[in-house]
Amino acid sequence: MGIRNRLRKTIGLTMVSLRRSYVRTTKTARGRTWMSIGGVALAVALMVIVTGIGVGIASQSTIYGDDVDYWVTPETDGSSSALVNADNTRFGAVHPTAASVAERDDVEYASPVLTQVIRIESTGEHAEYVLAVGIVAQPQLTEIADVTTDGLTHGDPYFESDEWTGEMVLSCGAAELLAVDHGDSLEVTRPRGADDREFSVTSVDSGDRTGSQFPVAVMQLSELQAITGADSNDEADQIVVSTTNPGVEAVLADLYPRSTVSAQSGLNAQNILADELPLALSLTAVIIAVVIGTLFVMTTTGLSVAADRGRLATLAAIGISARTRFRLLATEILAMTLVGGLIGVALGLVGVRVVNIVARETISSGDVASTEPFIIVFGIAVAGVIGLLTLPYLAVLLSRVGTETEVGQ
Amino acid sequence: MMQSPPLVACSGISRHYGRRSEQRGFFNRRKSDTPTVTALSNVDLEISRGEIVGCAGPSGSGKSTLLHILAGLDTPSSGAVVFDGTNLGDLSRRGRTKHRLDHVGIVFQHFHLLDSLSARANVALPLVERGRPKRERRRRATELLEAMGLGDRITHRPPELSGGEQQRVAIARALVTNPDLVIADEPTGELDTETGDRVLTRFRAVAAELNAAVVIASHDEPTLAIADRLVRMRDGEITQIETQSPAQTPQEASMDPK
Repeated sequence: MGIRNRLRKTIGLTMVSLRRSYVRTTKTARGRTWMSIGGVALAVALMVIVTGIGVGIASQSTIYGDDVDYWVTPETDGSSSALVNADNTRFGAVHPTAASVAERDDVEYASPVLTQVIRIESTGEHAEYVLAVGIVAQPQLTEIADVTTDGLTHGDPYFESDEWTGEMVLSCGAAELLAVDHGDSLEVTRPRGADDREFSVTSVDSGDRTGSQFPVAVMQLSELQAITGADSNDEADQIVVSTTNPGVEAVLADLYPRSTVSAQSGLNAQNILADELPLALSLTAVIIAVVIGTLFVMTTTGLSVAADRGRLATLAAIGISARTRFRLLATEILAMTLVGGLIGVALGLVGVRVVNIVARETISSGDVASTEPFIIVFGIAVAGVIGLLTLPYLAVLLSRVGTETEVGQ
Repeated sequence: MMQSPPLVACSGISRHYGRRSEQRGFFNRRKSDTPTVTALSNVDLEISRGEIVGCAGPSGSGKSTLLHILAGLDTPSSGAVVFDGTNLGDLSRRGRTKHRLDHVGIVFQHFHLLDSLSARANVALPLVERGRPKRERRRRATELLEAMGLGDRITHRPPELSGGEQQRVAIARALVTNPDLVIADEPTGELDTETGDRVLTRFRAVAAELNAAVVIASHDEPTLAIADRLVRMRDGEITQIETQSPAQTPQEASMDPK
């Protein structure tokens, strides 16, 4: 058979299989088909929820915003988060470095980010520790660490012209903790007997983002450097970059020796791999999903093949090859599992939402589970794996039925 | 004038069932105490192109076994079946499947159409296996269904068709590849007289137009009257081969005073 005929055969068989799958799902074998789809969907939904919780756990130590595309961080030994640990390696000369990146036409913005836990006193001598995040405010950088940047003067005036602004934007959680509101004064306790610095609350985040409940204060980078002693080498923990050009990643990789560039789509997956608990959760979820899903599909495939025994035998009798019969049913199984995967992902995303609502109402001030684009792809891939794992069983079943001599029975 | 060689030649074929070796498969290793049953015993038969052969006999006489062996569905325990110069015994199972696709059209009493596909898609299925273009598949299947009186049912699925209509779809499926040999086991069993007449007329046309051989097994004498030769069987043996003047339709046969 020539290539053209093989192609026609493949397309024809695929169309026959898909048509057959559709009619079986909607008319002739609804119960059995939906049982398979439902089994895969439940398994994938379970996996999406558990992986979502894993990602949520992994993301909790990460400072990021949804519009940030790349993070440049120093390499670590993986023992702790580079983003919140002051003892870790930091970048130096971050202002000119970030400015050089921001000069590129394809870069929307680039800002160094310094994070440090600081002690803040509000009026009435009420003091609390909060996570301070220092940035170079820019029009396009509208939020960091789930807190708005409105209220910060753009361009880091203290670095540019020694003009102290004392601007501080508080998360909803920090404002509640310090019992302050917009316009109130704050004092940051400086170490080693240095004079304390005055700040004022220029904005309080509305609190509708995932991390808004955490006590976070966003301020000018150079002012945070000044009160933490990180100004001597112009230090920061990371540089965040928003760009429309994936090619920028290579440029970022060359900014500092021994640095790591993480992309938006890969960061949380990377965190999962670096953190044992989320990794264990995700792996367990995948294994359970694959096992449950495969057993479901195997069972219904067995029932289906047994019910179609006579028809399969007739197909063999009229000259339809064993390979073609296998391909017919295999395409049906894969189509069914992929539909199950899509439904499962949708159910899982709804499940993550429900988990977060329940968690907020009971045990947590924020979301405990997270949804990432990679989870959707992951869910569909797992459904595909379930389908593929069923295929050897289908081959065994077909080797036992569909024998030509059965047609007369 | 030199006589053309037969399309199918069976020489000394026998078929036994129930032997211990046949009960051993990968998933079925239990030993069987089933006694050997001889379904076919030392059968010699030659079938030529353009000929319709009827096969008559009581249940268990070996008709279906003979048809399965002629079609390459089963292999004889001994003896040889030579199809147009090819010994079917030399072919692998895969080779026999290909042989059936290329040369044999089969109609079963239980027609087993795919419920999920339309009548036209069922008929066109062997052409998909052959990799024929979609336009050709649709045209050929539609022509055959129209010839079977199902022109207005081509998009219906089998559950939406009567038993007789399904049987005609199965017959169209058997003829769609223009086979050299058509095997029909009780092809009119589910059909009323008028429809059965139409189907047998179609078989006659296939034999004449495609120069194909047609083998029909039936309990129904009027159906068998369309045959050029009638093979009578009993206990796995051919007891008689009658050459007869074929009736064009079963109705003619039933009007025959003989």
